[in-house]
Amino acid sequence: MPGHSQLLSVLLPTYNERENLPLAVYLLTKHLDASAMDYEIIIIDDGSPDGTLEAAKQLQKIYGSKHIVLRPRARKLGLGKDDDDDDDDKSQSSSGNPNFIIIMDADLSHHVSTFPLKQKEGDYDVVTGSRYIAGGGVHGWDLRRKIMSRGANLLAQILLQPGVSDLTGSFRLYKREVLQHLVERSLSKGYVFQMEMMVRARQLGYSLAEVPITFVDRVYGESKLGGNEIVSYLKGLLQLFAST
Amino acid sequence: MSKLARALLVFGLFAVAWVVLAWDLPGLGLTSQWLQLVWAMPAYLLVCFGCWALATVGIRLSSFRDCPEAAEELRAEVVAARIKCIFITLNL
Repeated sequence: MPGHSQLLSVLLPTYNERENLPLAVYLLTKHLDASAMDYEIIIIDDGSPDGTLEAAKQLQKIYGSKHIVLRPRARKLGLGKDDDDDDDDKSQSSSGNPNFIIIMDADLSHHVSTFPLKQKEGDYDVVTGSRYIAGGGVHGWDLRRKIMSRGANLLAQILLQPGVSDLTGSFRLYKREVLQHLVERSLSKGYVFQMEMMVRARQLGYSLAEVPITFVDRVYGESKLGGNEIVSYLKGLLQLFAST
Repeated sequence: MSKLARALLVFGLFAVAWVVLAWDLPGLGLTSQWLQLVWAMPAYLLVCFGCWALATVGIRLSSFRDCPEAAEELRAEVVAARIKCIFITLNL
């Protein structure tokens, strides 16, 4: 369980998040400092053209290199395995041995400390944030978006039976060795990777727990839900339905 | 076995059972009332499933919170972060 001697690595994959990043790091440090955990925030920038990496370097100066670690990558790789990605970016840290790893989006910065607390309750292997359980939710979505979200979620529950209520929520805590195992077993990338990790975790018999998260639709920038996103979601679901 | 294979197996078993009953292959001597029921069964199950799915989405939609308090809290955090940023920039 997380404590003084145990290290928590927070992985922040970023792409064009220059405006979100300072707030995300501010909130993370605030909550993690208050929880008295050893932590590091690893910013993995995929060559953002908007200067996210420069912002990250500034943040490193402010918060110190003990807490902010930069791992820039040359191009957009997203999450999941890459053909020429020999090492595993997602389980590396500056010190090499975090006990727990949180992977989150830079625009989801709420209450990170609830994840280690939940983990501690039942020594869970994976703790995942859910917008769909009591206490969770989304701010700033219209009815159409909510219907789509609920419909898409129901379809995922029927097809994949993942054992968790929110498959696409990109805010999760893993035990380091569990994450490594899941990455080895997962085949997909990006969006589908998020879903596959949970489906595989259940298949492999890992213990899963959920904490409610509130998602305030992007403070800066705009989140989109177009035809392309819907098609790629459906393709991802079917791909996992056929392969897991 | 993948979830797709499992689903196909279940669907296949159901389809076989339906064909066997609909054409009364074992010669059970089903009355026309029973045969009507068997013939309508796939459509009936499909409609039931659709109703259940719609009702489930509806119920879950009604409990999908809008979280105004989270938005308010985040706004306050943004202000606090900006103030901290000003202090750091001014080296206070």
